[in-house]
Amino acid sequence: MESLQLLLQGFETALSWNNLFYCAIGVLFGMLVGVLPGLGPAAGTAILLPLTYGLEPITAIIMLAGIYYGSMYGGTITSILINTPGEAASVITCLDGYPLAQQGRAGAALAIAAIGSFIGGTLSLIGLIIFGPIVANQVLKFGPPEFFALVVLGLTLLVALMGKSLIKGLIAALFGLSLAFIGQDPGSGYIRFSFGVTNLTSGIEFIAIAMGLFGFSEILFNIEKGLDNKNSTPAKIKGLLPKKEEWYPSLKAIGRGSGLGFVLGLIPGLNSVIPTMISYSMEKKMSKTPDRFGKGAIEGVAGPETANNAYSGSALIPLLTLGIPTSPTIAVLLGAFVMHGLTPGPTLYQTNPTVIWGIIASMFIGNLLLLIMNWPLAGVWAKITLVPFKILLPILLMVTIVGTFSIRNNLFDVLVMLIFGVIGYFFKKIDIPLAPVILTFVLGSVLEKTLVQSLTMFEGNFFEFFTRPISGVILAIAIISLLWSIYGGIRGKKVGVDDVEI
Amino acid sequence: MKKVLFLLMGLLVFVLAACSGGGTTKPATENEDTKEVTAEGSGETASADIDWPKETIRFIVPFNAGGGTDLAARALQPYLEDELGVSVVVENVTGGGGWIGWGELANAKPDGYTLGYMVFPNIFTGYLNPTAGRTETLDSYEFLISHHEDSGLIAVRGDDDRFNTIEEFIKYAQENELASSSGGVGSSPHFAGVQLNDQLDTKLRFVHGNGGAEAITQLLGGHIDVAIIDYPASKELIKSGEIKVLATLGNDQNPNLPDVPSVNEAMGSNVAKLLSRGIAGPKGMDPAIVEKLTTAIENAMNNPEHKAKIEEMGMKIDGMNGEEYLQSLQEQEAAMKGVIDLFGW
Repeated sequence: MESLQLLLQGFETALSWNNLFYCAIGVLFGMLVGVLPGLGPAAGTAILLPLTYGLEPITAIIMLAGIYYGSMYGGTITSILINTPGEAASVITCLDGYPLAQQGRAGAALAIAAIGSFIGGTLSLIGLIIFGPIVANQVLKFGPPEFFALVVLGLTLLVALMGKSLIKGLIAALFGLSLAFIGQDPGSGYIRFSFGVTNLTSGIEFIAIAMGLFGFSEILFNIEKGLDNKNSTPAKIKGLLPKKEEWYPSLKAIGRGSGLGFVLGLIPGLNSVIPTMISYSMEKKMSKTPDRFGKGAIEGVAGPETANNAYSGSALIPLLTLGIPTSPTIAVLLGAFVMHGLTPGPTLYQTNPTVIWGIIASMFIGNLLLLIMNWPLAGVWAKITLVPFKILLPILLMVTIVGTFSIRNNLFDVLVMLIFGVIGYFFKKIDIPLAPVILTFVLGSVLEKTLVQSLTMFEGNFFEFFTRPISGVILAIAIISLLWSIYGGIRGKKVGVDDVEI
Repeated sequence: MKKVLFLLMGLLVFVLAACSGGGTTKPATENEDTKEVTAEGSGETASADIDWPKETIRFIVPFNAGGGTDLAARALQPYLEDELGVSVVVENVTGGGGWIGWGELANAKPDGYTLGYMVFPNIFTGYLNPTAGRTETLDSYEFLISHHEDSGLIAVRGDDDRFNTIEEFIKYAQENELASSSGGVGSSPHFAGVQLNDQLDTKLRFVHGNGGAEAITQLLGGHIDVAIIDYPASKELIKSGEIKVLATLGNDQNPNLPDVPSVNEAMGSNVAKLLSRGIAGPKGMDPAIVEKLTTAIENAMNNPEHKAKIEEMGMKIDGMNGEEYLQSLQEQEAAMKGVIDLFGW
């Protein structure tokens, strides 16, 4: 109960006019950062960091934290509206969000994403309060072998995202995996497939590939359809709420997404992609009509969007309790703490409870602010889909190019983006799904790194993967699910060409 | 007559080259070298004469915003602006292990309006890795001043009772293989660990990861036995006893950890400190600008507010400049070349 009292004190701090004001600025800026592809939350936080010198430490961190979780809301918007994920966590949202927008239901998709994000964010905060200090030390048991196992599990789940043809899905997945090879070998430092180009020595930039494959290829596709083609203008906006019969499954998806995101967020260093992937394939698997997925199933937006916000809340636990940043954005946040003379870690809870609880309380308020801003705004955003393509095109083109450039101030990334745009265009033409490319690309580098790390730890003994309890169980699940789908494939024709299921 | 003139010229070039020590005998720099000599002769007043800077200065930081390198650079930037009277804009040009930014710096116009933040030993690794195919070396830059150094720590879990002192640790590691953290092949922790293996016959093997945060997570989780990390990232965990520091790297103790010896004084080794960061421009800058800039940076560094900020991060302000700085870098480069076989390159 002590923590409840502290939380109430936290609300007292967070609800002061000053803190409320900076919280609102933070989440608003965060949303903006999420909407602008290329400008990620890490960069956004870093940009505002120097401006907080003059502020009280707690106010500064309330604002910067606002950017962090606010951007999770914003990233959804571009995924749904223009099929361009601004960050890894919203790649999955494109799968059903964009088809929904094309059917004129962008408003509903955005609204459910906002609601899901709010619920997921709030639930994971409650989890943070109750479990934070208890679980912090347990999650450290996740070492390289456990990550390796999780990535393997993630790869087996990819099957759910492969679309109509398993072969084409595999082509896409292997293409993505091989892209992850470019750059330095994590075990020896040997630089592979860089062809003497310095820009390739550390691999290709994720955002450049994502913006090219999804965003730029979509632009090319629309140009082909013709700028004045009546068919290319989307259907009228049909309401800002999901249909009545969609509420129940959506809320269930939100509930599952919250739990999933929370648990996975605890694991330090886990990619924000994995919770969204697992949530999506889980929803698809549990649905009675899995063939709707990929064509505008609202649960396909609700689940992953909730999961990534729940993830972002619980990912703060390792930071606040151990001082370990679990993602680049959180690393910037850690920098902000340090800059203001507060180092997160085991002692901060004791020495400075007002700060910790003030921040947690401000996140409740921030999430509420985001819901209030996003739900009504969904209609405004959705109107973007009504803008005639010949006006939208130059703007999109500009945003993708400038956005790609701004990630690292590097023109090479723009070139990568354009090349992947063309690749994406041809892939779409021949029905090779794009999501597996980007997801295996993200997971591939983690897969390789953790494999090498684990084998160094084990002195080369591969079987230790199975003798460690956590990695053993995860790998067993992965293997069983793989065998199950093979068995299902042999036995029943039902799980055939039309709908590949796990 | 011509012959005598030629001889005199040759002699002059020789003397100047000896003065500048770097061995750059490009004819174009001859004039500038003369200026340098006179500037040295007449004291510091000469630098006040030049009409520089007049425009915004770009300060290339080759790592991501918010990281240790970036934070340290941004801690200096406002004070440097005060000293120079023009804007200094930090630009994060990232990728290629820092070499996108450093490559850009080497190719920038040497007019003093482009500066870069240099991180050692990362720079050495970047061009010593044969598969990187880099043409830049220390000669591609004008090294102005060393900003600060971070001696780094050899740390183990607080509840690890196999070793409580650095002596016990080294002895144990000589007899048993231990898994150590590393920020990647040729990274500063790897370099330090390889030097331990080389000089003290320890048997460390390296779990190559992405850096400090990952190393700490793996150490606390018991996935590795020892972590080679910097002080700022582990400060709180040291205070709470979750992490035990056995020694600092290099020769110096960390003032925040008075009970912890340095590995070199305890073991008689000659291991380099974890890392240092400094400021450089492209090769061929006007010596007058170099001098004015160095003085300005030095003043900014000595600003008590800035000093306090850097010390709060657990780092030590350095201030080595000019010839001395270059010489120290050359020594560090030689040390790395000495163990490069152990990287597997």
